[in-house]
Amino acid sequence: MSKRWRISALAGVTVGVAAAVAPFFLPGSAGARGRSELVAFRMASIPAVFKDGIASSARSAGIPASTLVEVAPAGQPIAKAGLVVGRGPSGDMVSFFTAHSFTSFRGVADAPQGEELTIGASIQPDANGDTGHVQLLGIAAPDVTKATLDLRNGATLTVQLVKAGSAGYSFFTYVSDDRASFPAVAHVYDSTGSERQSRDLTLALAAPK
Amino acid sequence: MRRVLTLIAAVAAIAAVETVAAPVAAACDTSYWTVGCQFYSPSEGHTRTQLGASGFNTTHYTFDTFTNSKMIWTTASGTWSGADLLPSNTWDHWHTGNTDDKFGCFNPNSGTEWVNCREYQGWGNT
Repeated sequence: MSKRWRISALAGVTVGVAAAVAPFFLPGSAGARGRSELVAFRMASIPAVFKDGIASSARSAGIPASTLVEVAPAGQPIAKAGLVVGRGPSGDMVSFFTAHSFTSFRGVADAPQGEELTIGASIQPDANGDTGHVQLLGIAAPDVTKATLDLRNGATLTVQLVKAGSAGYSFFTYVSDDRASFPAVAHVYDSTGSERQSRDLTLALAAPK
Repeated sequence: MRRVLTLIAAVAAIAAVETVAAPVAAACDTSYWTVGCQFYSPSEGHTRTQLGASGFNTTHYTFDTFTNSKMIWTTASGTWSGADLLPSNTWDHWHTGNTDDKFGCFNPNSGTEWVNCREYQGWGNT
């Protein structure tokens, strides 16, 4: 095997692998959407004003900083939105955050109020005043093993469920700046494949005007 | 006999009204729910100008009937700048960088919904 051939082969393999995995890491790309990562809160790339607020809210709720983790959309240098989960005196607690706000911590089991699927979302307008940007944040009950989104373009996307905390709940994120790929319906399923709940998001994500 | 029955019916009606009205009145304390507590028709929203010139302003709401409702952020003229879809009884702390924005609540559902909505300065009163 000549040296030139080996270099060419290695270059070809490298390019092929890069092409295959790049969609999963590029911010906002189709592949990256619906994938989430778990980050220690102290390492989280949350805008400082919200990170300070979330940390203070956690202290008020009696949550040790060492238990805080962020569930964030994968591949985003600065998180536009996400969830922060920590261990409070009476169990796991969660805070939602967006580019413009954060919520006080509340019990992970309290927020769903008996539902299998809890949706949080933040939307912002485009130049015409319609919904132009969507950040979707989900909490799924412990028996949920799969979550999917029906997108407006007709595609169905399986979103990554990330376990955080000790109560068995899982979390997911999805961001889109493209109307065609805004979520229309969210579904969650248990390990037998049975749908546990679905949520039509069409009105929920429409512009409030 | 008719008078007695009428009296009984009147007493029962008053008792029924009191039973329903008491929790509603307790829930609808407008010194707390500063944006208001009322039925929202579909696509109806109410806001209040932010109280703090800077820093955080908080929206807190409760609702029922539907699973979702929205907290909204608008400019001073009422153009929407953002909205957060969050579970009932959530405190949402906005930091928008403006001094005259408005915050409040909006019913995104297809039917009428009762919403208690509050806006206050800061974020510590949870």
